[in-house]
Amino acid sequence: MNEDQVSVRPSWGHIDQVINLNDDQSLVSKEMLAERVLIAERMYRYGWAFDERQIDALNECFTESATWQASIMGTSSIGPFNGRNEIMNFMKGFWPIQSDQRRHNITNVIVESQSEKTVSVMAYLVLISASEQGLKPVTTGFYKVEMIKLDGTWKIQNLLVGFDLAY
Amino acid sequence: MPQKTLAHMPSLPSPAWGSTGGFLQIDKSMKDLDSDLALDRIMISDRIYRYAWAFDERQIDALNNCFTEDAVWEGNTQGVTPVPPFRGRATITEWLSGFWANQSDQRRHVMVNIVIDNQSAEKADASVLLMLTAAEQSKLEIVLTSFYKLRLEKESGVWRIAHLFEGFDVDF
Repeated sequence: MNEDQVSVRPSWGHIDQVINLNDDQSLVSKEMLAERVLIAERMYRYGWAFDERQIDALNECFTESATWQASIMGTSSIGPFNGRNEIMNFMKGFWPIQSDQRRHNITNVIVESQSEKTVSVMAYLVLISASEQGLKPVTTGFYKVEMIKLDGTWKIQNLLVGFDLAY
Repeated sequence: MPQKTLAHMPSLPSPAWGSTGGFLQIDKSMKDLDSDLALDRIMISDRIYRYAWAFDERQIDALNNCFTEDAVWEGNTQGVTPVPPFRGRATITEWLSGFWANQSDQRRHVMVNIVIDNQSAEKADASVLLMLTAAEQSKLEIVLTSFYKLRLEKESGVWRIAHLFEGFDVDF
């Protein structure tokens, strides 16, 4: 992807109404709170699976009918890719052309709404690249993800990643 | 909190300046938790992350709700330069949001290594590392690292920050 010279607009996610934080924490049951450990783990597994190029593990992160799309600072978009197969083909297509070791550092995981079988979750991304040239921060951004619980396992139904810079 | 000046150090920041300066103390041992306290830690972490999200996405109401009414925000750079205490939620929010007009980059307060000490049903101390990034014009920079020492209190089931100390490893 070419580097984008478009100026960053601070808090562009909120300005564009992609991100609209709840004003406060919401109270949920103990059982639902405990589910958040696994919800966060699904986010982390997505990062691990991509970086370690484990296609089966990456595949397992998504539902059969999942969607994946990206926005770069709200000025250009990638996707949407519809369905797990289309998402896998898109994602694994990066691997032959990325000769560096990428690390998707996923942090600041918060839950915005949650029911027994659905959840809306957001997280930060700090993407780092390691190569012979050294260590380079590539981009930051956020994930806005809807998951559903299928057969006891949380899976990604819709994923939107907002990049603060082109990657 | 006992604090020493580190201004005599030959180069700053002096490694482990938070501990040696008396700004930060991590309990040497972990304690057993019952399940209720363990679940509370999920909400304590949620509050810490929401503070970052609210500042970075410039959502003033969400930022305001991170703090108790009588909260205190204070800091220190390298154990040398205090950042004055700001007292009360309205004062804190006004001070924090005052940065937004001067920051043209996209900041991300990346919060990691959260540990909780002195936890009860209604109060907890949290120590957190921050990596602050800024994205602008095709360039991503690490602006600073720091630590937070937080006192959180539970109000009607919701965790809020009652006292925030930020220790900056570099000038900001």
